[in-house]
Amino acid sequence: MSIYIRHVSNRTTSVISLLALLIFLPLFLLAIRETVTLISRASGKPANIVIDTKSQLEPIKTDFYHAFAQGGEENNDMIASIISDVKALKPKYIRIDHLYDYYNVVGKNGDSLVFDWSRLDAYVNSITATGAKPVFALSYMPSVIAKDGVIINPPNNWNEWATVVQRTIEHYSGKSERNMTGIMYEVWNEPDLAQFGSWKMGGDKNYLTLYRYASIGANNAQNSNTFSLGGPSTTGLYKTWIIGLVNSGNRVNFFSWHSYLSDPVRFATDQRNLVSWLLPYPKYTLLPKLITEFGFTGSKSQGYSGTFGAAHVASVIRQLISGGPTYLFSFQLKDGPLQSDGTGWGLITHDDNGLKKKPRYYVYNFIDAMVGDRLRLSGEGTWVTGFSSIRDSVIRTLLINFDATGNHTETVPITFVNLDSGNYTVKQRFLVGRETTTDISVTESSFSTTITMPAQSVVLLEITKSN
Amino acid sequence: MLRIIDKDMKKVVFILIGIITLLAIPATVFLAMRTQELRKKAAPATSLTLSPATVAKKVGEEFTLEIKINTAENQVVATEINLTFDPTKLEALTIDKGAKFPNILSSGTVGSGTATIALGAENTTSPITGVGTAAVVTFKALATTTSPVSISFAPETFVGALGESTTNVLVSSIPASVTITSNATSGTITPSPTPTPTGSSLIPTLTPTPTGTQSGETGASSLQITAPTSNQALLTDQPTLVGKAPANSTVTITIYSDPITVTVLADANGNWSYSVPNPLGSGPHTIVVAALDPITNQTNTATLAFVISDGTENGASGSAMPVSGTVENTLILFMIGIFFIFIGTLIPTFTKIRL
Repeated sequence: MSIYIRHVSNRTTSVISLLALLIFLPLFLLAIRETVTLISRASGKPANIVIDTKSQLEPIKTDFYHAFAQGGEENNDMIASIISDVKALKPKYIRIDHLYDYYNVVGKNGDSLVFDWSRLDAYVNSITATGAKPVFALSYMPSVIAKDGVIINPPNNWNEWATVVQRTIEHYSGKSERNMTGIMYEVWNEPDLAQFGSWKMGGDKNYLTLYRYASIGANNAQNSNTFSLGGPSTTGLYKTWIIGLVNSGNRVNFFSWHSYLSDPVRFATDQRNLVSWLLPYPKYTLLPKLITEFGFTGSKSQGYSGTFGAAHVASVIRQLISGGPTYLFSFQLKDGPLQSDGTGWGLITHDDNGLKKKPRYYVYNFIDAMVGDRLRLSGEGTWVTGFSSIRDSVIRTLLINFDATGNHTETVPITFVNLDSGNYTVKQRFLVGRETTTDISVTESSFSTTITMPAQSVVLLEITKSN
Repeated sequence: MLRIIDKDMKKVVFILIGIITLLAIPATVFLAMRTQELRKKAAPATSLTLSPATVAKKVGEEFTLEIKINTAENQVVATEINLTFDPTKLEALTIDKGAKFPNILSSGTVGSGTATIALGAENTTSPITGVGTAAVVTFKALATTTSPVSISFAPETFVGALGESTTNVLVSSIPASVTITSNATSGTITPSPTPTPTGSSLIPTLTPTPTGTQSGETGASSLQITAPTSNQALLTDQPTLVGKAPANSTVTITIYSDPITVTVLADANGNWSYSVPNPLGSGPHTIVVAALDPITNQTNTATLAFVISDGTENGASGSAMPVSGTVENTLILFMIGIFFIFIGTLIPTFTKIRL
């Protein structure tokens, strides 16, 4: 037996070491990231819910989340085929965009602008048939007035843009035309996004100029019912845009922005930030605040098809149930075509996929059961959050287990304190899931139980006194 | 000869006009600024008070404090209330809106040593005015204290009002103090000791305002400032403050704008007085006094404005503050003055009066 030993040069050793480093460094970094994620998740706080049944807070509002947006994945009336399903959602407002590039509204006859409302009117008729009022995102630039005919460009003549806005308002809010009341007109849609023009707060494509001429058009509207004009409808809540609008001196009746955030707490943070920014501007502090599109991601995701999307909506509503925006628009009502892979944003699948309702569809009316006076609830955790209410002596608690990054299951202890002695019926109802009912007797003024909540689940606990 | 005199006279007149104009411009600017400053000082002042001001609890007990607002003359549209306290001694359980504000603008949040909520009026045509409960906070006593711990308003606390531009109209905030014991017999709100608002717990944002009214939380009879009188112009810069309060109560007196806080004891008849030991600056001042009413367990506050006169101002009218004062009015008067000066110059020039 012989041993063959080959000496390698230092240079070869260095090269091999370098290669090994290059290969293993990313793996090492990945391992660190995963470890940190696991540690941070493990360090999250489990919930220990305590509800004081005698500590009543303010009345709970449920209207604010009955607002929906429909994107422009097709240039037709996307709501016509789902009117009855949408009506069941009890929508207060439905927002649409692409007004001027999908429905052939604006044309030119010589130097004069001409308007044909027939196609847009049909869409608006579908919206009103659901019981909702439309919110018009005044977008995009009609090609007949846009520079180079490009719909995300400024117009050749700003006065023509003002006229387009004026005529839109006169048509829908005008007493002699559609005679609609309380309509909201939002200037543009996501102006900061490259896809919609990369408008800035200055320069050649100045959103404030776009807004100013929209405001001029609004102020010129004749014989109209009360309506609202607002913006900036950005992809997120940005202070420079909000304060820029405040300082512009233009007519502003509401502030709007979009929120695609997986962390529900950020929605409440945004609300607090906005109020703080506006406090030094007393005329603007109380103006309506609209999140005119929201979701957990702006990208298409299969999360929108399952309980993840539903739990996210419920979790966001919990964050905004007190001191929330005037309206929170879920994006969107119906998937676009060719999205049978389940990645569409819709609450309902497209016609080509059977118009099936996804779990997210059911969450709004489910939470409506919570209407009443809010009760003091403490002990929310990292994943499990909730709120409680009382109405006609029935105590209801909504709990959501939403884990944005994983699959966290939790057994949640729940204690109701200051309960009157007596017999109660406890009903436990999971969103799109099981329902159980038990009878209990309370003698020590409190009642404790536990609920095992799978990841991305929403449960409603209802306690009714039997006698 | 006469012609020479005439030419010399013209020169003299022009020189005089030039001198007068040169003097008039800075004088006008000074007066305009001063008028503006006085007007600014006349902006009404809003206060926030935690009630009751003193609480005694045992470990584990919960208690509720009301955050009272006195808008004074302001038309308040929104407020952001930020409370701070020692998180090792106290835990905030909830902070919610009170009856005075119909809207929660951003939800009440409680954290370690903090409690925050933003509240608003219904709309700008129905602003909040007067005295009432802005918010309600519930605390839990966590650990015993060797001396009272304070629950105070953080400097970020803001009150916005119509017509006050971007100004925080909050000029005073009175904290509460909590004594926590493990004594099983405790657990009641006691009338003493009354906490002394410290400089750090006060938010000196604006020079305070002569509101001209007393603003006792539960009525002027329980807590009053009887001297000086509202908006009185005092010739002394070391006045004696006199008033009425519940018998034997501790009265906390805060004098703005450089907050001076002291406590004095009311006698058995409820009389209290305080002689300001150091000279106050000339100009407007505000006194805020607070005392616990042992019957209602409510902290009453009263506010009063007065002016230290330097003996040359407002003497004729005796009014502490101008009714109004704007740059526009002053500039119009200035322009009129310039017009008359020019007319006075041109007339002798064209009429050529000869001696």
